[in-house]
Amino acid sequence: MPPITIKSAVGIYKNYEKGWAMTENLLEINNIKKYFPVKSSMFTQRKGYVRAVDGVTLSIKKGETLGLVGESGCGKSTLSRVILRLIEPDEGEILLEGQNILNLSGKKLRDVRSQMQMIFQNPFGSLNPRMTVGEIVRSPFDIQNVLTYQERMEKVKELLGLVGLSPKDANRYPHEFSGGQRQRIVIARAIALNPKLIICDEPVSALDVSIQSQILNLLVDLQQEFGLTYLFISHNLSVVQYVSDVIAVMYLGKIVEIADAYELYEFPKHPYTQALLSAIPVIASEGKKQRIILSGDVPTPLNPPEGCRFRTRCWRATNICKEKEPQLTSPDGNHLVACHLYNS
Amino acid sequence: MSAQKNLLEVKNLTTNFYTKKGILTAVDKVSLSVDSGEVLGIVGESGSGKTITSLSIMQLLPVSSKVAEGEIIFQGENLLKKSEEEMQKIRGKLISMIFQDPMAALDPVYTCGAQMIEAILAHQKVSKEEAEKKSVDMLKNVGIPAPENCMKSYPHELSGGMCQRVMIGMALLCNPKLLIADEPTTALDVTVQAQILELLKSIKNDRNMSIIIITHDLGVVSEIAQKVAVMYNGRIFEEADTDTLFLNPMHPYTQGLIKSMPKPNQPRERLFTIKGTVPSLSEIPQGCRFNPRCSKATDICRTEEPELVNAADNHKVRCWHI
Repeated sequence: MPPITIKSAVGIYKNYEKGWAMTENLLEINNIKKYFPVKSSMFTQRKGYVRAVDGVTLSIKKGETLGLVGESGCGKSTLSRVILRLIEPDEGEILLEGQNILNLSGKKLRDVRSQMQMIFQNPFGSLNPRMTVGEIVRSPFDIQNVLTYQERMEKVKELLGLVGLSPKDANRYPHEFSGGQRQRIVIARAIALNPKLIICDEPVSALDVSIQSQILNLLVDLQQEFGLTYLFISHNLSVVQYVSDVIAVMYLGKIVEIADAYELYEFPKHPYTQALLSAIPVIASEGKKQRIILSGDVPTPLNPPEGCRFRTRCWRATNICKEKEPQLTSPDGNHLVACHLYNS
Repeated sequence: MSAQKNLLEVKNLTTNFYTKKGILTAVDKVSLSVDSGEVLGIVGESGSGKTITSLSIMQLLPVSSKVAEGEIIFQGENLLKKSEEEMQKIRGKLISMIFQDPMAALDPVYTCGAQMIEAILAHQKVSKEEAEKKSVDMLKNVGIPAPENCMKSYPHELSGGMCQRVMIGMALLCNPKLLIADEPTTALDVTVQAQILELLKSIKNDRNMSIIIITHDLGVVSEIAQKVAVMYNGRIFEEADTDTLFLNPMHPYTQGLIKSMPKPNQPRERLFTIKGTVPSLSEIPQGCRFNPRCSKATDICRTEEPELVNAADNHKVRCWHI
């Protein structure tokens, strides 16, 4: 048991508040695989596959935030797009409230998609520069064809108010806004249809430091108000830790560790997680700590190392790591880790 | 090598942009100094003028801008009085620069080796073979595992971290006295960022080189810099030793920046926020430039701009409330 701190006490209180909802999974992903074929040239046959997502199993509880952390190229963005079916997976199941969305098509798929929305990293790329903010925020209603025109316009004003913009902004164009304000517009569009799940793919990475905290607070407020569930993807571990209830660490297309946010930060088990956490630059007032410097880069997912994928950079690798791939197991309770060190 | 005081001294530097909207002052009366062997961090949000300050030092400003006032004294000589020809001899040899995006800073149509050899031949009278040998040694020094292969690789064949190592290696080829690093780790993953910061630290110690590191990441600055200047809207707001600045920040802006960063395993309370956004250069507020966003602003802040004054030993702050 971790010691009860303010953080864990808040967590317990939150769980109590949520009551029955605690046990229900909103989203379940089972053994998702996505391989991208790679050709070496126009005339040759397939050279191989990039194993972007290689057997990922995850679940997110209603009203919770799952943080997904990993370095670039580890497959976290591919996974998020697979969940929305923007990319079709090769294998696996995606259950949203018990319904397998991979079997759906046409109208049913469109209905399900309205339940899942996405916030992208770069608010300069995700807003159409030729549409007014009002049109952008209204577009989910137009696409789903709900509400009358008058109602839609009312809704737009309400949504802009919710994210801290003024209703007058509806007539302006995206280029008139700063990065933080644009991200607010993106968020307004994402919550327009009262979705159940919002996938936030690096929502604050492109923003200035003083703006990041504004957007993070907004996301947390909206979650509390509407009971939203987030899948929060980022490479910034401090940010993920702040917003998440549960954190999953991904490396080369596989999940290597999943645990409660507090637990993961206080007692990381996988050597990769330990290195990742120690690499966060801290400011002096927080005290210096032992730093683990990993050697080398992430290997190419085209040809991942045999056995444990992390072994080429791991300082605790032994012979068994070369031979056998470790499975995600739980040495104690809800803390899952894929490492031979804990497989005794 | 004797420790030399004030390798670089920037006095009252003012850099203007000449645009259709009129003259915009991106850097406004900035004074800085770097001793040899010292690491100075410049922190600020986008639009604070930190990059323009560094480009002014290198005299690599975009055509629409010009240094309007001030002096940049490097090893006793004013760089602003140098001709372009003389500057070319200084750039790369005495002062080097590395940029944020290593993939974009390297030329995609030449191999890394060709680019490094070119850099040596531009400044030193050596044969091509010697230059090649020097390049390989340098790549080894910056921690590239197979330097011979790397010499023959094109930038797109290398990862971001590798490219940044090549950039750093190239910048160090002529043993510069000063390295300006503009967001050197922003485009990299945290584990690679840690590697690059370690590398910069060890290079600095080995060569007694000075570094100016420009970043928006307070964590990075606190890891590597001895002295920090916080910039906002073209002005320096606070300047102090790293430890002093982070333990005892005096300016409300610095305090806000530090407080608004999520810290590992802090209790989940609302994050502190600085309201509003950075004003653009065309609408700089009257009085203190931070006053519309400052929680402590009073009447004097709205009418008169404070000076950068010594608040304590080696701790300069630009605020009326100290």
